[in-house]
Amino acid sequence: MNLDDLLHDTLHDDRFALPVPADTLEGVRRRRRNRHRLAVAGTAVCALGLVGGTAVALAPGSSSTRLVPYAAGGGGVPEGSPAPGITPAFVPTSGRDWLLDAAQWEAYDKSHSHPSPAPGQSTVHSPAPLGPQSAGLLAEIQAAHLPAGTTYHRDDSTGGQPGAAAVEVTLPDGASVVVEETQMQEPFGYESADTSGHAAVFDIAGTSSAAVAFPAAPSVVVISRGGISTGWYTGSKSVTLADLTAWATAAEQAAEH
Amino acid sequence: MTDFEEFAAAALPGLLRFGHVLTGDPLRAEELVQQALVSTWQRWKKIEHDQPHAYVRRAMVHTHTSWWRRSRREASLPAGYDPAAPETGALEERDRTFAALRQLPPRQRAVIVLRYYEDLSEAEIARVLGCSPGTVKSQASRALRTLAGLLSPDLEKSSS
Repeated sequence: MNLDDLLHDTLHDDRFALPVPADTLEGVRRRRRNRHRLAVAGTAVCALGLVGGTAVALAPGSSSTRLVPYAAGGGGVPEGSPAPGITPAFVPTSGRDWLLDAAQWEAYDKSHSHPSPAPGQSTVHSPAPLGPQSAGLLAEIQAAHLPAGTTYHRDDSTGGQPGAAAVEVTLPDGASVVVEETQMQEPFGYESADTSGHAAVFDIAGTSSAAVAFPAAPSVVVISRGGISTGWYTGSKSVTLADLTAWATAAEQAAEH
Repeated sequence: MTDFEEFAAAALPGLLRFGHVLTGDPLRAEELVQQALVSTWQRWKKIEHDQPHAYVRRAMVHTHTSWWRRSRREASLPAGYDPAAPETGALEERDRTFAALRQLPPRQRAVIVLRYYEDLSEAEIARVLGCSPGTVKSQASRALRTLAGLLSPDLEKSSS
């Protein structure tokens, strides 16, 4: 037998045929929803412009909306201060303040202004260099003790969003989890993002942060008092909501200590 | 069901098998297919009338190459392979061939899989991989030279 025949026979070996798992297409739909949610988180929900790895705020008294940086690593909205660009003032005292159910969101939406960055201020030249934001995020994730053999890939300015950072986590079985950090610009109406009605909010013990878990498309979004949002997303069946919750909780506790 | 979902449902068996020969691992094959289909879905409007099969295979090859770069993990042998099993001629020969295939860098492995499993021409492989036919030719040539070296005892035995 020559090499051509050997390769042809090997690659057509029936042992390579796989049954099509019934929920593969559902897995694709779930991943797509998660990516869409990431995009939404980067624009409408967590839309505070971020520049150069530092959170930015709207300069008061500016006729056209301009952005000025917070101190790098400062934890977002300073304690006791109002979130910029929102009228009447929104002063977050804990992560839970950023998470509004449907009725709370409706009331908030009717009574508050919505901040937005000026055109062109939220663009990043590609490729964006790796920066301290993704390094910090990676350190927090690693503190959550994911399984041995897990690999990590950092990405700053994720999807061209200034100041967003992400770490793509690949578990030893090949399953992937994306962890993305952004600065929220305004509270998050979490029930609008999950129409299943099963999203659950919980506090992160030992911190001032809170989180919301979405069972329909397994994902957990942790929000610090200052409005730093860290979303844990997966489309892999081998990763459960309980896994994401445990890792997200441990990472946030490590971040605050 | 949308056009994309119809395409995906029809293509799934072939994509899973393609993923399996590329990775050698059923779980990784499914992960690879799902990631590639999500990416395909996001660009569906642009590619639905222009080679969606080529696009999704390209996404799989690129993702697999990216995994390999990050982890440098070797692909396992196909499901059903038992190194302790007694020799059974053709089966054993195929297992050794696949073991040799997995020693190739991922781009070379992809070229071999596209040529011998998908039966694509050099021009078609170049389109899938997003490179020139000349690059395909040189990658295939290097891969076949490596494989011939690794499998020379089998080839000699077969021809004698």
